[in-house]
Amino acid sequence: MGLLTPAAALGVAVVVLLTASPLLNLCMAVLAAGSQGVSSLLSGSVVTLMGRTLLLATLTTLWALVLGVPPAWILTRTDLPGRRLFRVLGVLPLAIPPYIGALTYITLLGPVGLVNTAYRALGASGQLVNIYGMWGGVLVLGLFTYPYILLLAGSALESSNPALEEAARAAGYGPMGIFAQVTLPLLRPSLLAGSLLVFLYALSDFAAVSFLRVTTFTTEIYHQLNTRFDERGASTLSGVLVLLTVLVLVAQRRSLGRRSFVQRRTGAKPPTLYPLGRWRVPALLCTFVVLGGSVFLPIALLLYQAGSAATIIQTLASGQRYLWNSLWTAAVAATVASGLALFVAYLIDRRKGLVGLLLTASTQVGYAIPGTVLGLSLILLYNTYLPWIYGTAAMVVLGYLLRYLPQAVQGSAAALSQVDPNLEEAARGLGRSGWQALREVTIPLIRPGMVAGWMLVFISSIKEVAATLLLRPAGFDTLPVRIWIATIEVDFAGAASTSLILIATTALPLFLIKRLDTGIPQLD
Amino acid sequence: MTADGSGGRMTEVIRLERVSKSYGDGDIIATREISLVAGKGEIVALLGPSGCGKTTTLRLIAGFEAPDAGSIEIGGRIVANERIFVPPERRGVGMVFQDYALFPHLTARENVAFGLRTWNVEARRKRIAESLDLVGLSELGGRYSHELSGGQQQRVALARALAPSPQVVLLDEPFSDLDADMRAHMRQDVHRILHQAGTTAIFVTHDQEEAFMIADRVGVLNRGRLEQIDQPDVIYHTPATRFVARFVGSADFIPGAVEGDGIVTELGTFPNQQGLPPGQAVEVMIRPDDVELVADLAGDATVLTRHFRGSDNLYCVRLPSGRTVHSSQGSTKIVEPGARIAVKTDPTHVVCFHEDEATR
Repeated sequence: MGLLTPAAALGVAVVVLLTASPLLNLCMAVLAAGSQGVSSLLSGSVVTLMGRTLLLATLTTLWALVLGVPPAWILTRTDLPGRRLFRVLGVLPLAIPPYIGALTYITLLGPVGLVNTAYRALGASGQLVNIYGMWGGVLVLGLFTYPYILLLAGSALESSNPALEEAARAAGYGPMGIFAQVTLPLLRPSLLAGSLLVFLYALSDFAAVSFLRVTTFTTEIYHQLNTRFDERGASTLSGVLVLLTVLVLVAQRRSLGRRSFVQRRTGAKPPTLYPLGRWRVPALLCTFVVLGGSVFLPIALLLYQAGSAATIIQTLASGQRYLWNSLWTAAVAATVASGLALFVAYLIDRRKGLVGLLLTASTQVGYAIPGTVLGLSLILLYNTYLPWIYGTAAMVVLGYLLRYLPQAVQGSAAALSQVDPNLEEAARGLGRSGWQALREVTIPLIRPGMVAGWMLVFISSIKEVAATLLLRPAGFDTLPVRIWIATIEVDFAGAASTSLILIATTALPLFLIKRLDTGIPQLD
Repeated sequence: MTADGSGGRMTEVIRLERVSKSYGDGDIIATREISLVAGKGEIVALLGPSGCGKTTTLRLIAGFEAPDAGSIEIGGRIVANERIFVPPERRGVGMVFQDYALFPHLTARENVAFGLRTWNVEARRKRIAESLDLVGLSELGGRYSHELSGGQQQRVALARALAPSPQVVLLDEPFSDLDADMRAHMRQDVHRILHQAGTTAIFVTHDQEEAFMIADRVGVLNRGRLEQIDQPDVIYHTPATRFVARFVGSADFIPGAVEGDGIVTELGTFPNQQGLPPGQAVEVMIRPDDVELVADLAGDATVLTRHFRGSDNLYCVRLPSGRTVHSSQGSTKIVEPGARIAVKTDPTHVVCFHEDEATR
C-alpha cells in the first residue's frame, strides 16, 4: 500500500520533469557561462544593480507596511462605519497590475503629467516632480502591493484571541499600550509573511519598473536578451536573481509555516472593537487616502486618459483578438494547472515522505522564478530540445502554467486539508473503490477550493506581461502586451483603454473568489 | 472455556489469528500477535490506553491497514494474510468513526443511502426508512450533518454503517466526542440498536465503564498485546495481569506467602484458589470495594485521607507495616482522617501475582 501505482509514478515523473526542467536548464546555462559569467558577475555594474534592486525591494516593503498596517487595524478592530465595504475595496488594488498603476502615476506625476502641467500653467518653469526613478518605483509598487499586508495582518487581527488583550487591559494598559505590548508582537509573523510577499514581488517586477525607468535585475535581463541578444549574460544575471529569490523564499516558507500554526483558532469569541469616538474622522481619512491612492485615483486617471466611452469601445472592437488571446491562454493554463494541482495536492496530502517532498518542491518552482527569468529559461530549454513548440502560443500557456501552478496547488491543498481522510475511508467501508471515493466524496467537497484556485491562476495569467513578452510568437499580442506596446509608443490613451478592459476582465473573477470565501491567501 | 474466552458456542463472524502490525521500519509496534474471535450478534469491546493498538486492530479488520503477519477472517472468508488482501470496499464491514465522518455535502438520508448503491430503488427506499427508524431519526432525514446535534450525527453514522446489513460493525471511540450526559444516553441507545439489529460489533474505547456497560466481552490491550479477553465481570474480578487489574479499576497489591492451602497476608489469610505451590511469595490484588473499615479504637490501622466522591467515600488507610490500601465506603459512612480503625477484607475472588513479576 505504501508504493505508488505505475500511473501515479508516471504522473509524478511528468510533473517534476515539466516544472523542474527549466530551472535545471538555467543552472546548466549559468555553469556553461563559466569563468566569463563569473567575471561579469564581479564587475561593478552587477554589484550596483544588485544594490539598486535590493534597495527598491526594501523601500517598497517599508512603504507597503506604512500603507497596510493602519488600515488593517482600523478595519478589523474599530467601529469605523462601512468597514466591511472598505475591506473589500482594500483588496481591489490586487486587480490593478502594478504596471497599470505605474502608467496612471506617470500621467499624474510624469514630466508632462497633470501636476507639472498645472505647475507650469501657474507661471513656473521646469518641473515640480518627476516620477521616473527609484522613488517613483517605490511609490507605485508599494501602493499596489500593500493589500498583501492588509490581508494577512487583517486576518491575523481578526482571529487574535481577545482574552489576551483583556488580560493586558486588566493589567492596567490603555489602548495604545495594548497595541504596542500585545497586538503588534502577536502580529509579527503575519507582518513578516506579508512583507516577504511584497519584497518578492518587488524583486520580480518587470513592467512597472520598466515604465518608471528603474533599472533592476529583471529589466537588465530583458535588455541583455532582447536588445543585445546576449543569452549568456542574461543567464548569469538570472542565476543571481533566482538565488536571491530562493533565499527570501526560504525565509518566507518558515514564517508562513509559523503563521498557520499560530492562527488556527475556531469557534472563539470575535475580537473586541474599539469605539473610535473623536478619532473617527482621522481614521476615515487615513482609510480614504490609502484607498484613494491605490484604487480611486488610478481608475479616475485611467478614465481621464482613455478620454471617452467611445475610445474604450473602439479599442475593444479593434482589439478583440487581443482580448481573445488573453482569455484563451489564461483559461487553458488555469484548467491544466487545476488538473495537475488536484493530482499533486492529493499526493502531497496523503503521502508524506520523499514523493510529497519532491512534488512540493518542484511545484513551488514557479514562486522562485520571476517572469523574465522563467521566459528566458523556457526559451533556452525549448529552443534547444523541442523547437517545434518554440514559437507557438503553447509557450505562453506553458509559461503561465509553470509560473502560477503553485497557486492552484495551494487552492486544492488548502481545501483537501479541510477534508477529513476518514470520509474517504467511510466511503471505502460502504463499498466504494479508492477512485470512486475520490470522485463521489473528495472532489465534491474540495470543488470550491479548486474553483478558487482556477480563478487565481486565470487572473494572474491574464495580467502576466514579463514572460509573455519573451515567449509569445511574433504578432501574438495579449492585453498586457498591448499595454506595453502602447506605453512604449507613448500612446497613453490606448494604454489606458486597454488597461480598463483588462481590469474589468480580472475584477469579475476576483469578486467571485471573495464570494467563495475559501480562506486562501491570494498570492501573486 | 477456550483460550479466547468465547466459549466456542456461537457462529464465528470474526477471527484474528496472531495478527501483527508495525509502522515505520518496524520500530513502532502497533499490534503483537493478536488473536480473537467474535460470534454472531456479539458485542466485543477493545479496551486500553491510547497507543495500545486498539484502533489499529479495528483498522486492520476494516482493511484500512494490512497486517505484517497473521490472518483475518470475516464470515469464514480470509480477508487478509500473507498472500491475500481484500480491500475495505469488498469486506462487508460497517464502520462508525470517532468524529462520525458524515459526508457534509449529503443529507442524513443520502448518507444512509450511500452504502446502498447496488440495491434496487424500492429495496433501497425501504431500507433507508428502516435504518433511520431504527436510530429514531425518521423525521430528520433531510438535514445536513451540521444541522444535527452530536448525538444525532452519531445515530446517522450508526444507521449508515448498519444500512447495508454488514456482517460486522466497527466503532472507533464512538462516544468520546459527546458531552457527559449525552454519552450516558447514547451508550444505552447504541447498545439497544446494536442488539436490535443483531449485528456483530467490535468497538474501541479507553473507558472501562463504557466497555463493561455495552460489551458482552471485553479485550484489554496493552502495548499492542491482547492481555485478556473475557466477560466484563471476569475481567474485573480475576484479571490475568497486573496491568488489567489496574486498568479496569483501582487495586492495591499486598505481599503474601503461600502456606498450606491459604495465602497469609497482613490483612488475613485468603484461600489459595489458584492452587499455587506452598512457599511461593506472591502479591494479592485488593480492590477498594473488598476492604471493609470497622470502627475500633484499638485497631492497628490509621485513616490517612478521605475523598468524598458523591456515591461513595474513598479512604486511604495505613496498615501497621506502613503499606497503604484503599477502601470504598458508602457515601454516609464518615470516618475522620487520623482515626484508628480495624481493616477487614473478604474478597470473593483471590487474585495473586508473582511478587517478582514486573508491573507491565
